[in-house]
Amino acid sequence: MRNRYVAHMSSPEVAIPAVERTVLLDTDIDHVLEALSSPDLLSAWLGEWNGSDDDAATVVTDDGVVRNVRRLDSTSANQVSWRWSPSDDPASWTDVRFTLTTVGERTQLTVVESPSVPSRVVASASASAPAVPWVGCLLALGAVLALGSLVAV
Amino acid sequence: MADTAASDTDVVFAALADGTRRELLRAIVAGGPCTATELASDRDITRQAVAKHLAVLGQAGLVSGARDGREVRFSADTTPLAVAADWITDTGAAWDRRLGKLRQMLEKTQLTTE
Repeated sequence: MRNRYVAHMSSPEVAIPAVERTVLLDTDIDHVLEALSSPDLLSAWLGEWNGSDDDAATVVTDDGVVRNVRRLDSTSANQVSWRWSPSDDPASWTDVRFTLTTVGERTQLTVVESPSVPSRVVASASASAPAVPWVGCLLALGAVLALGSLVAV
Repeated sequence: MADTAASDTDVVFAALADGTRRELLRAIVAGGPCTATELASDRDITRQAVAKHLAVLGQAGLVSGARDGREVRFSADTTPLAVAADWITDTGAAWDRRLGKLRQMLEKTQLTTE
């Protein structure tokens, strides 16, 4: 479980902070894929899911927030991605990407959620300087968090 | 879901996405108010490039400029970092809960099919 910088899905030249979680599940990959795709199963663990298997849906997550969901194309059969945003704040969309890997008879599931990057800022960032490698970003993250602790003090 | 109107958190994350901007912000926090010329003189970067980065940091509310004679002196404001930290904390906690529920659900369905 960690937070990190990732290349943004829609703007891979820009690294942005993201939340990442990984779990190992005692079931095969097909069952996990179904749990990420079936409206009934999504309702059972994520929140009341309204929508068919089509690209758009709404979900009421356990924090009571109604989110609009739009599925994104995935690069692999073992990946599920969507973009969602609170229905009352559509500009605050984030991308969620699930990646599944078979580990013996079990399935490793990694979820990464990354916030949107405003297009005007991306354009500015790209024009002014190339993005630093993400390893450098990780090193810099410590310093940024240190700044955050200054806020807390 | 257009991205034309970005939230405050998005703008802060975008500003922090670039290593040079993080470095400039650290320099201003550590050294106090300074000008784009002073920041550029310590680095292998032009004053114009520094000014562009400061503009992005300014959009996020992480720096603000005040005129000082013919130059603008930039000060840091780390308050917006708390907003970004809150998003990371809250989102991480939410996924911990959700994945716990997913695990429970899969264990139940596993039991019923066995």
